[in-house]
Amino acid sequence: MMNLVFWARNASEPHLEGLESWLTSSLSPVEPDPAFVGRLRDRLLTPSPVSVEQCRRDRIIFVRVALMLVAGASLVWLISRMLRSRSG
Amino acid sequence: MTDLTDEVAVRRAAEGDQEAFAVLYERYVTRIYNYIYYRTGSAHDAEDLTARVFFRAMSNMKNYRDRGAPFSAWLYRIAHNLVANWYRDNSRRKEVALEDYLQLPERSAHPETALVRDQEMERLLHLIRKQPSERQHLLILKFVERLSNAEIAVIMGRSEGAIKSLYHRTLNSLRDSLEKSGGEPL
Repeated sequence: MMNLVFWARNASEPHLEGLESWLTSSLSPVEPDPAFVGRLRDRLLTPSPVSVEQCRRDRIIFVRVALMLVAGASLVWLISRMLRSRSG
Repeated sequence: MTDLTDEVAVRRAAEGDQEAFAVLYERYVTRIYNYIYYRTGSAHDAEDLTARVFFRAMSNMKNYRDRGAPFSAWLYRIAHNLVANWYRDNSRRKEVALEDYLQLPERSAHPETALVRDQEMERLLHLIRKQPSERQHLLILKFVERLSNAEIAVIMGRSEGAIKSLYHRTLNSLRDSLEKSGGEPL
């Protein structure tokens, strides 16, 4: 079987069949780990609980932001009322 | 179910049929894994990126439009984009360790011969990965998947003549790279 050294020494050869046959003998399909293939299949076909948690986390953030907005608005209203009662 | 044609399986998967998507997954997971493995040189990254390819494919199945190209071409395009991102994110990544290739088949039992072959394989893969991505894709389809020029043309969305031309340029470029590398043992 020809190897890489052979090819470096015969690089000027007009035909490329030798390189092709070297590539053919060197490159071959690799099999993925069957455990990986099975695990990935299960993950693809089983709905992930992560999305539920993500959804719940989003809801908590939404509630917090809403509470902060309500508190902020109340504070502004309170301050403005106090200022009005002083000036009045 | 496994005897479904790609066309039917894709249509059913796009309608939300998970079993149809499973058929497509089983049919193409090894090919996509091989493509990514030879592009990245790492079994670990090949697993990670293969998983991302199929998750992305599954989430975009509803948007898939059959434009005459085979379903595999769509998967390869997703894989190509993810590998490009991987290279961008790992631009200062070290060369892949020799041990990563030890699972390649057809090794000699003799330790010295095996070592020389491993070194030559490492050099070859290093030179292949220096080629532009479309040439790498072509070499993988040609020598790993053993596809004909006509089949490669369909997947890569080019004419058979363009593939022949690209193939010839790729071999010449690879030969030049080998010549420059000098054939000295690593």
